[in-house]
Amino acid sequence: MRTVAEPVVGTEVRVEPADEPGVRVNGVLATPANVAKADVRVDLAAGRERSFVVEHPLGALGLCGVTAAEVTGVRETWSFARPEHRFCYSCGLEPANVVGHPAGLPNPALVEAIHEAGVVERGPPARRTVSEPVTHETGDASLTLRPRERGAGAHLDLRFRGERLTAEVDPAGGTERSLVERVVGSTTPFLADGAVEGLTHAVADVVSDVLVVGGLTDVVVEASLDEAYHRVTVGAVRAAHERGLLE
Amino acid sequence: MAELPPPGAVTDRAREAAGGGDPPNVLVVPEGGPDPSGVERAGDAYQGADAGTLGRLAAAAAACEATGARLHYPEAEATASGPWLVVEPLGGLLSTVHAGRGEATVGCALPPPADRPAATGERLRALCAGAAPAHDHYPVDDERGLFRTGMTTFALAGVDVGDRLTVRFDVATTPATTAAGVAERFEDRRWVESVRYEQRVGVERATPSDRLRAAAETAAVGTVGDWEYDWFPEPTAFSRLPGGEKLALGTGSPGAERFDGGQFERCRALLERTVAGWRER
Repeated sequence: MRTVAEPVVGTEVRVEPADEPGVRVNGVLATPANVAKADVRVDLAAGRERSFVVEHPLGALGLCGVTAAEVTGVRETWSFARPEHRFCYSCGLEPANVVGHPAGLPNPALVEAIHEAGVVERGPPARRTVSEPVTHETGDASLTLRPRERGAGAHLDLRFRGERLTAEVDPAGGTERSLVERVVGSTTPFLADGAVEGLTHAVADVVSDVLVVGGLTDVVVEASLDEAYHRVTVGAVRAAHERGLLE
Repeated sequence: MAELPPPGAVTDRAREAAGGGDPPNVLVVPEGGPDPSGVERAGDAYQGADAGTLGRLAAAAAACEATGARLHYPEAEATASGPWLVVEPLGGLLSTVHAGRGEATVGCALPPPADRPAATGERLRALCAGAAPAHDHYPVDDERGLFRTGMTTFALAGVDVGDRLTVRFDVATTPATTAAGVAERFEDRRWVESVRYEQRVGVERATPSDRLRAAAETAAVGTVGDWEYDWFPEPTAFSRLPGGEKLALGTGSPGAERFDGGQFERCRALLERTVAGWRER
């Protein structure tokens, strides 16, 4: 497992090293079983504890190769223009339950802080792929996970609003730095009109959902995405987990 | 799918269903009821100014008949015991918070009479531009008001022109709205002489029990596929009901002049399942 060398702070979150594999957000482990909502955003929940828009910090961690961390929301003031803040206020939760970036970015400040602090390896790296192809479809969107040679990393082949993007992501943090910077500087398609910017942002979302939440490292991801594409990204990894196809 | 009842029969049926029954209490807003004479049944939908309210009242009456819940119609008996389910055009969302209302009055100096017509128009346009919603990151002009709902927003309510220009705005308020914040929107113009803000209705934040919340959340999952909370963008009867054990829910959109059979069915199912869930827990 790989964790941050020291505590770091990004936009809306603080990230601390972890002694056990997995990423926890406000104490809830990022797994398909703990995903409470997946459409235009991803929420993690356990009991009444819930964290909103987790794909932003999780995407940043995945792009940096972090596989173990404690993520804590740090926001103390309300921003009621954000629907997630209104949700929290309605339920007696706090602003810190919203860990997504206010401008819809995959937390570039967090990536910069992790690059400065460094990532340390603790124990042997875990590599996982799927034993057979898994496809999940909803409406106009579909996503297929295909097996890939152990150690090969993730190959993304994404289509969105008529554009196509392919990318190689190293789950151990060796992803090309210029790609990472381009991805974390791209606004969510929920707020950006441009197809290319939305598609570039989607790389971080797929990394969040497939690599961090899904726990896969060596996989081909072929996806045709719609406006609520977390349904297929989370849907596919949930199907892989439920069918026992991780190996 | 059940057929929508004839528009003229809905209020009669609601009147018959009202008064009896056991908790929880069910109230459709606005109180006083819809005017069925302006609503037509066309195909599987109501159409007309009060189509949504009539459809939700029909759904509430059907749900209360099926469950024995207590329907309040045409008005709420606010002293009734038990939790409240307030039926509003929430598009399947749940709500425990309703925005407030206030009024801002901006007094402006005007030049001598010969220059007043031009200055009045210019100043009015400048005030309206300053009052328009804006955000650094979020689009504020979408139909549903996804981002606007949580912002302090202004609607022009009146203009008086005499020796000075007085402009009144209705203000939709949030828990973050302050008199100082309202004044800041206008007072940086040299010709603004005064800004007065008065709160009319405060933001209402209910605190329903886990039992009521869980019943509504489970019902929403079974009916619309997910549960999500948002604020209602204005005060309603919800804001006036005493106590915190209340929750708003319902289908349709504010101001929509069409309400179809699917919305009726979902609204009815949402209510029935919430009532049943609350009683089981």
